[in-house]
Amino acid sequence: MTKPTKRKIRIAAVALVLLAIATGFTAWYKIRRDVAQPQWITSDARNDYLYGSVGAESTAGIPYWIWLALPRLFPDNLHYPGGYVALGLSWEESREMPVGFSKKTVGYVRVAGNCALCHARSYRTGPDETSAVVDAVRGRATDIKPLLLFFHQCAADPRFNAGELLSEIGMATGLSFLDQSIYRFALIPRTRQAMLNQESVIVDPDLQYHSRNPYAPFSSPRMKALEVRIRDAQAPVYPLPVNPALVAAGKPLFAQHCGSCHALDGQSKVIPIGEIGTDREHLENWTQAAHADGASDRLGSERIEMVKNSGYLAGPLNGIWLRGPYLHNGSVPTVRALLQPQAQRPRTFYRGNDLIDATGVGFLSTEAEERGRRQFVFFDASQRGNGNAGHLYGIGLSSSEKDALLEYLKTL
Amino acid sequence: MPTLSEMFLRLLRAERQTRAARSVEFFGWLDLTLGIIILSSPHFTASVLNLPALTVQGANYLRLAGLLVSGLGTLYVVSGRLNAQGFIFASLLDRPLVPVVMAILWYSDILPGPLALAFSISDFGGFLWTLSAWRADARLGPNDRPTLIARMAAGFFGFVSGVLRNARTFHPDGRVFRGTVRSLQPADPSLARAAEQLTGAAVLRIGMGLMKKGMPAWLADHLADAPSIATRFYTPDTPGDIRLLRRAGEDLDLLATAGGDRLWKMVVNLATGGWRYGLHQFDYFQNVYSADVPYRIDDGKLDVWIRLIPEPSQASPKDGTGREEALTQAVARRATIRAEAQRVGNAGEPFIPIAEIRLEEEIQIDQEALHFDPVAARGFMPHGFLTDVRRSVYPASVRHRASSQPERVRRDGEGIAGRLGPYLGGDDENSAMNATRPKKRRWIRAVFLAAAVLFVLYLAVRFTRDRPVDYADDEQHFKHGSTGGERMTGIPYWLWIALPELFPEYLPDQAPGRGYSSFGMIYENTDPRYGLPVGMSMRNVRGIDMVYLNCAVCHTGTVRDAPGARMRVIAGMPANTFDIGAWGKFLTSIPSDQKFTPDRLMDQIRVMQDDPHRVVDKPDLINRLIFRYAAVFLMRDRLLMLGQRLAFIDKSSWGPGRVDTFNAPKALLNFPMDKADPDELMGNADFPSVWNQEPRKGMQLHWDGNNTSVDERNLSAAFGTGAYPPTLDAERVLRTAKWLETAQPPKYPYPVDGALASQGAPVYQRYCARCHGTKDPPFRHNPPQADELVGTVVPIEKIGTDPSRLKSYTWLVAVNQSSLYAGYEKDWGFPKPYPQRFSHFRKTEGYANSPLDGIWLRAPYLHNGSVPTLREVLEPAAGRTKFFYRGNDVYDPQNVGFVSNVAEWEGRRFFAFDTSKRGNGNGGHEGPAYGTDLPAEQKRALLEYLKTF
Repeated sequence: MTKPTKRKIRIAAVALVLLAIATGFTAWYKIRRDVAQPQWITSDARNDYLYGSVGAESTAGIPYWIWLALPRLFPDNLHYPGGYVALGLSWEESREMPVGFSKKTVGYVRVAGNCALCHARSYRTGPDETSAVVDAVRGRATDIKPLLLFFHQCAADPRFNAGELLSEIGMATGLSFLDQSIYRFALIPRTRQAMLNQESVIVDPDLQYHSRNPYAPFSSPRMKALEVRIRDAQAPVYPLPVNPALVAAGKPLFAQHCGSCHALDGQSKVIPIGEIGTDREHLENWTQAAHADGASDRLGSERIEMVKNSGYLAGPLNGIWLRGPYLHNGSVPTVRALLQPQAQRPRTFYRGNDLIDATGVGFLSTEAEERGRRQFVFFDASQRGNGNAGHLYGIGLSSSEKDALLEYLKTL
Repeated sequence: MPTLSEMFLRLLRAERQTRAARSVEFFGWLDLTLGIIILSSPHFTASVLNLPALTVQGANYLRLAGLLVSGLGTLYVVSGRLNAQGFIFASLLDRPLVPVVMAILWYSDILPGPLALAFSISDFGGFLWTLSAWRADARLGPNDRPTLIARMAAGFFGFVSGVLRNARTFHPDGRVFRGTVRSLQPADPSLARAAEQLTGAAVLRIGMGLMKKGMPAWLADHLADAPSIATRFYTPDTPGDIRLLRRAGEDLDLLATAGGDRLWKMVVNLATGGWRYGLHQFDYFQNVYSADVPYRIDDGKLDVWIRLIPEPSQASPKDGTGREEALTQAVARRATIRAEAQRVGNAGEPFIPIAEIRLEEEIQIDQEALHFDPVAARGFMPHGFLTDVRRSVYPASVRHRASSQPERVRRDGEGIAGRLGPYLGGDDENSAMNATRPKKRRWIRAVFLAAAVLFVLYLAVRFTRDRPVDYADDEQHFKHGSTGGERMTGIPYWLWIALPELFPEYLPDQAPGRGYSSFGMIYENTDPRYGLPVGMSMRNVRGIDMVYLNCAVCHTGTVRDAPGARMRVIAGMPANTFDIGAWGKFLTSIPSDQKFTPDRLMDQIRVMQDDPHRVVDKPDLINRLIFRYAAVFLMRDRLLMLGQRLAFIDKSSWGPGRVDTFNAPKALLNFPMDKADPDELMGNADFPSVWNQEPRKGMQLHWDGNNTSVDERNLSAAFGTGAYPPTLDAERVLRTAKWLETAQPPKYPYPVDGALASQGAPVYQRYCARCHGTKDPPFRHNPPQADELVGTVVPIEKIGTDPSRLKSYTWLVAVNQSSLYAGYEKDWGFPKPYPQRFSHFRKTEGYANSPLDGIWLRAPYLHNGSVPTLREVLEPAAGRTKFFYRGNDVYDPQNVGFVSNVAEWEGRRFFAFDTSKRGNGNGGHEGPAYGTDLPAEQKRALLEYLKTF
């Protein structure tokens, strides 16, 4: 070979390598580049909890503009006006998105769920008041099934296509030609597939596993820290006025009837199922065999602390006014109902209202919907897993004793 | 007489066309295309020619004309291809008459001018071309220029193989041999004579198509390749004479390639590795070598395919080395190669052996010294498409051949640019042509190229154009400046002015000729049919002049001293006459009308386009086509969509000067309003005044005080002018916003009793100032006083005015509005401070009080405009008018407000306002604290004082 030929080959090789690098960089920039969330989220614990990323974006993130356009394009899949609020999510005024969604740039801007999607709660003191959001709430406070169903319905709709979506997105922002192409040819079809297959959308496999097995500890430091945050969260002060005299009267009643299990500064302890008598379904769901099988390990997470217990946990009752409906399966709408024998507890009621029920302690549970705002979830205690039996403590108290006890419980 | 099938063949091949025949054929195609276009789409034709819209009958006549034209085109095409001299001559007599005939037809108004001109140009131009071609035929003899397609194919081949691959498709290397040729005495006399012509000596080059430029053997063996034999037949001057330079006309070069008897078969073979038509890459002697082009022999009497078949060898080589070895052995035993011929036309006919070449010896020469040119010689005339391609490409190839081995090595080292230069150099195949047509043709080509480039540039500029109409004066900018809404929501100017003329029955007064004035739009010193009303802006978007609303449409009103008096146009006051609900209903109703078709609209535009009052140029051809084929349909779709999204709002309940402000964003966000609380569906509110925005910064804005940011309030309102985040013209909206910061209401123009007014000042101070602030900007004290409430929300229980507007704005809208302008945040990389994502919307539980600047112009009063005059605001609700008329701009200085007891004036019906209807309640803002219990003269004094605001 002659020299010029060699040089040509070299030049071509260099050009090819440069081209590959440029393409690779563009692809990385547009698909994988990880950008930290802005300061107002990362530097504030509350905002970090409500809007911070838990890392679900890279596997379960929805492209931001699709997320934004879906409620506008598919209002027929919503039962009420209000975008994502109509699916039962909380939304603070002035914030770009409802509580529990984190927005993060991983190549493109993505939206994924975080702890607050399930573990935050809103309450209202009156029908016309604006909802206040309480972050870091133990237990499943928000049901995200309607949200996931909404995504699935949208994806199954023939209007879920690049033409319709980009035209709706085009009313909200001006995407560059490259970004439009990425949406048209990659993100929109890919998102549709993920939503149709009910793959990890919004919640990644770790969070999904957690939702099936809430007591399994997380492995990542970030999740562990958030777990601690939820555990240690202080309940907000009851927002309505309380009767101090009644509170004073209720305090000894609490010590007498409840304190042995629900000591305020005490540890949670397991009450055997035979003693507590509440619905067995949840307990039996996690079997010794499953534990021994190491099912959790196979999911790739560290689950060594898992045990098989023989009953349900009783813990401190901090912020109990915010934790209705009650019992592990949320089968009793108010504390007052819980102080009744099973026969007198409501067999059916509605979950999801955030209007405080001051007399019952809990949330309003008798309304099927709030007109034009949201509908609530029907609960039937006779269905499997929904049993409202057991925990027959304090049912023998007199009516005035119950009033006093309830008043005291509001202050916890 | 030739048979019909022969005629079809001639038509298909169109051989030896004269230049004149070609020109006639070309015009035939032109006519045929035109005819088919006219035949299939007469409406399109009419719009291109700017004819009035066609009736069904007119369209059918035009179709008939199209049929005739296409028939004529067919005649021209067939005659041209068949070289029909008689017809060509006839066309020379016929076509020059066309301009004369067309002129007469045009003059007598039978044919429209553009059509007549088009026919004149095409036919007379055609005549001139044919005439000059005829003369060129006579002067230069038969035309042997290859066809255009062949030349293009040659150019393509030349580029791919010569420039990109730096290969020699047409001149492969190989091993060179000397041979002798003898006739095999075929029985057919023609073949026998041809065979005689071949007899003599031959030089052969045998090699592989790709085996060149020192390709390594291991690679060559793995690439599919076709062996080939190039043979030169010549009469030796002396025995053993080797003819390295072809003598033109005397020596015949014949190229034959293995792998198929047609070129395309060989290409398929190469692509598939020889699976289909037999290709033996490693054995020269198992292949059949075909010439791939037909030859006319024996003075054109016979048309034959020719192939070469080598005598099989004993060896069966398995690779390239073995193949070359076998060739060496074959020469050693003086193997023969048989030439065979087959009649063209019937693939079933046998190949008849005609001659035999015997390999005598291998000769060592410089490869560059030997070139083959497969052109006619020794009575063998190649023809057909491939020959045409060769004729195009060989001269160039010949010219660029390296003269020697060193030169070739140098060229191999040349870069692609070095090869591209000569390729693009343009001194292409027809140097002979260039000699006879010096420069002129190239010049024409350059002009054409430049024109094409310019045209593309023009289109690029035109279709990226985004040029708003700007105004030097700030107030004019407020009235007519763009918010950017035209970019997506705009209506083409020509459609905008055509609509009221075409759909007068949808207008409130059902009278055409007055533009949109019956909706209460204001036309200032302009013809309402053609001019833009106050509140309309214009922008050229992609070459089309688009118009749409701006801020002033709702915030500029008029005042008259008496019915019929001159109107005063006041920027910044509520648009007291403009019924935006009726206007919106007009726009969203007409697309469903059967008259809403491109034909009708274009017809209307054509009627109007030459009027001197028009404010833009009349639509050109491109815009007419866009209107006809896209804009009208797009507009219909958009208006129908808009109508559907806004359908849940009862626009007929608004009347002039009112709008349902916050049900519109619900439509924008596409809330499922059929499932909404019915209580929130009515949110009618009066247009506010927009002066003095600087001191309003930080106040709770909108009637219910739902936002404290002036910028957000502006952008929120701008949605109504079609300015969405991607279309917003931030610069121009800011200019308006800036102007409004200090814009002032005009002084009360009627007499004011100064003494009385000064008595009113303390009354104002006592009863009103706490909520409505001081008389003049900045309305608040500095430093603020403790009980100062101006610009804050008064709870609904306290103010007691109609709650509908408050209920219409829900918390759900508030939180969802926070996603408007999403992505426009510094945190997320958006570089500009304006616009920014909305974050100031809040749900409130009352109505906001506001400063009273220019209060005399803000009638009717209260948020829903339910109290016609300021005097009545000072009365308890029971004493206020229950039924009045809105939309009149005649001023009533007695009561401070507009005349509200007149139902109709000069055909314009005013809006009947019934305070008992939903959302129209005139209660509230009453009681001792609101001054409605004051003694009469204190009220009089207060009223007088308020006139001075």
